[in-house]
Amino acid sequence: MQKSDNIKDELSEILFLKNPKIFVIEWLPFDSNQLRELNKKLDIEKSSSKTLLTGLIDSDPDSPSFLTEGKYTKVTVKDYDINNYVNLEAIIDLPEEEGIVQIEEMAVFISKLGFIIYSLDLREINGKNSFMSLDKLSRVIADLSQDSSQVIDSLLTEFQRNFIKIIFGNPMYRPKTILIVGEDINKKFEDVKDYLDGEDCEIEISQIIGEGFRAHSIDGSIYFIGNRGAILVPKEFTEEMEYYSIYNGIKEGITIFIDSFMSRVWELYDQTNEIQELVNMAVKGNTDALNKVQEEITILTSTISVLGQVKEFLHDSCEQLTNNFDSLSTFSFFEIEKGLETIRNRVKESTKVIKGLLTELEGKRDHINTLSEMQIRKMNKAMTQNTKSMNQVLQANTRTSEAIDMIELILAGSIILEIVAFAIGEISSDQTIYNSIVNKIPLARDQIANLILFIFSIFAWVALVVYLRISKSRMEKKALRDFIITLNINRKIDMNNLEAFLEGKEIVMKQVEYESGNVLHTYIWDTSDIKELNLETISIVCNKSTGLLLSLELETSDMNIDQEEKVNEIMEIFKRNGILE
Amino acid sequence: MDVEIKDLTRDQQLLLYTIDYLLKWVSGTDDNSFIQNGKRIWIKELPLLAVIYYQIIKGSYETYDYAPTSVQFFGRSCYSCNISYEGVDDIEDLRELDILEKIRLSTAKHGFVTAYRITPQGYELLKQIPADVKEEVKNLFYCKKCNTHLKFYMELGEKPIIKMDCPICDESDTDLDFLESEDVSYVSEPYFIRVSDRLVR
Repeated sequence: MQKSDNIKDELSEILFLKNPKIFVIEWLPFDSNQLRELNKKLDIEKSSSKTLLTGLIDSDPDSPSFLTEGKYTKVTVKDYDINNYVNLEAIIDLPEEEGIVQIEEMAVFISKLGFIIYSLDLREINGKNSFMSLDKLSRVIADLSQDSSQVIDSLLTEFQRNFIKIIFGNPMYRPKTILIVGEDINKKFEDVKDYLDGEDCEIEISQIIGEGFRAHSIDGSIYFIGNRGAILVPKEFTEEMEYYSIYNGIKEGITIFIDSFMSRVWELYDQTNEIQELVNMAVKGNTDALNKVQEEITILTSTISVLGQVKEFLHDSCEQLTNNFDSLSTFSFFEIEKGLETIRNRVKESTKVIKGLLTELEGKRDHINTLSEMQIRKMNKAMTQNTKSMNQVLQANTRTSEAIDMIELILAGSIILEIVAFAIGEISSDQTIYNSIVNKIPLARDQIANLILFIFSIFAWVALVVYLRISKSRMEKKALRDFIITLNINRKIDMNNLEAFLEGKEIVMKQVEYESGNVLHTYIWDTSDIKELNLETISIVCNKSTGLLLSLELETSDMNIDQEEKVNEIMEIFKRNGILE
Repeated sequence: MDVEIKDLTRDQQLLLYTIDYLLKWVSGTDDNSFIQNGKRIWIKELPLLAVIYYQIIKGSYETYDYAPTSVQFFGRSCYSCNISYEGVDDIEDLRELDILEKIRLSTAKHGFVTAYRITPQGYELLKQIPADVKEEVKNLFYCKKCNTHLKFYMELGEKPIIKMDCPICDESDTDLDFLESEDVSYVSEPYFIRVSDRLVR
């Protein structure tokens, strides 16, 4: 016979409950707005038949269709009060191991106060009905705890999921409280304290509701109340008893949530202390620490703000739960009022801690801002110093460059003297004026010719120097003038014609860029030799994947150029060459 | 309190020897001082319970079984762990007999951790543990191929894993499946609460 479970051990089952009802209770941040969102999702006013729900988000609202995979919850709205609660029937259909059949149908009650109750009548376990062992029930509860997270995940808003993730980490695995109500129990003792035998009975009850549970027996009803839940075996499960046992579950559910909430708060407190270490490093001049601490403070402040919002949800819920509660001495052993009061105080006290954390972070942020400003001032000062030094170096360079320019010009002028000397050949010493003066010889034809040549050479030399000087400065001015016209085109072009057109051009730069699946080509070609264009270069960027001409850039040294006319001229060239349509 | 080995059940003897074995493994020493860098070593409750579970499914204990129990890790995610309450109960009994000592301390993540060590009286009793009990433990935690102690380690990531590896070969690498929940077949019907209007007013 095929096994209907995958339990690896032989269980020694001692306690059995008859026809148990199971309630899994938890508290999550909810209010009227969240309930309204949920009602919209459920399409509550129209929906009477089963609806499939999923936690997936339609991330492409423009698309006419979307894809899903995996897990769905099939829900039917049974009953609702639009502003207060919604009561659903959920069918969970998740794949199980071969041989294991789970027909899992449950009711889900979601209230604006945040408590969620998943409840069901357990009809059979492993094909057996009526009395069911606590050992096997513990396996059903483990399954329900996880599956209930699956059910509610499809119904929550992103806003709530974010809260849950911050508080519990993995939203699928969060603690919940359990309530089991059995019609009867197989083992009955005269004294309810006998269940606390330190042996089998106590162990089996502890497995479900936690160690150190309390046992009560009132008017033939038996109650076990532990820190993870309660097991009740009432003589009759009246509405009154349902109300108080569920209220006890709600109280425990909020307590579980606050425990995790406070763990997060204390964790953040520790992280604030770690931030102080980074601040100390930043004070010592560690710029990496300065950058990191700013980022950390931003993240922490944001998380604390979220916790602040969660605390508000908790506060409102606790206040209303306390006000709504109808006290009744018969069920005082649940200690609900005392529990609610403790919860209220804990929520109230958490305000101080959250405020303190925010103030501390604010102080640290101010400290860091001051340090950043100091750092910026230091940098500015250093930059000013650098600029000064650079100016001095630049001036010295300019002076040196001027001197070198002069020497270059003088040397260039000297070429004239070389040319003259080359043209007239060598001059002997008796042909010079100097010789006539020193030897008191009258100026002859040679000396006069030499004198004229000398004067001519000097003039030619000076003229050449002046000419070179003027030309150089004109060239410099021309080189410095740079007028760039940039235009976004975004028009379809014929890529083949463009490539053919560019073949005849003097390409000075070609660049290919891969960006998000697009191939962008940049071409720059020299047009300085085409006088009528009056342009230095033309640059285009085109997307080969889409065949679009993205932009055009024209570079010229003519500052008075008519830009519109020039652009039209280029576009006309593109059209003539069949590039643009 | 003077206790003799015959005062303990076989399961309690096995449990005591398992704790001793784990302490020897973590301290890397065979003597009973269990001091590492001048500090006393304690074995944490979670790996101990994982080992007990592994021993149960291997048939080592006579009277223990286990049940899935929600355990919250670091005050956050809550996983169903296969905990033996008979084992937990025997740990308490050994404490009452002054054989084990328990320590409880806060964790860096604002949770609490419980750990155990053996008392001098417990070490006296260990000398009297029957050979078959010792063999039972050793056989389970020895690599059959390399004849060496297996190494335990925990990965407390998103979903915690407790594993046992052979430091030499991979023949005996085993996940203890401490967090693997077991399923039963069941049929349920929705139960709609009758007091919804009274709960939310």
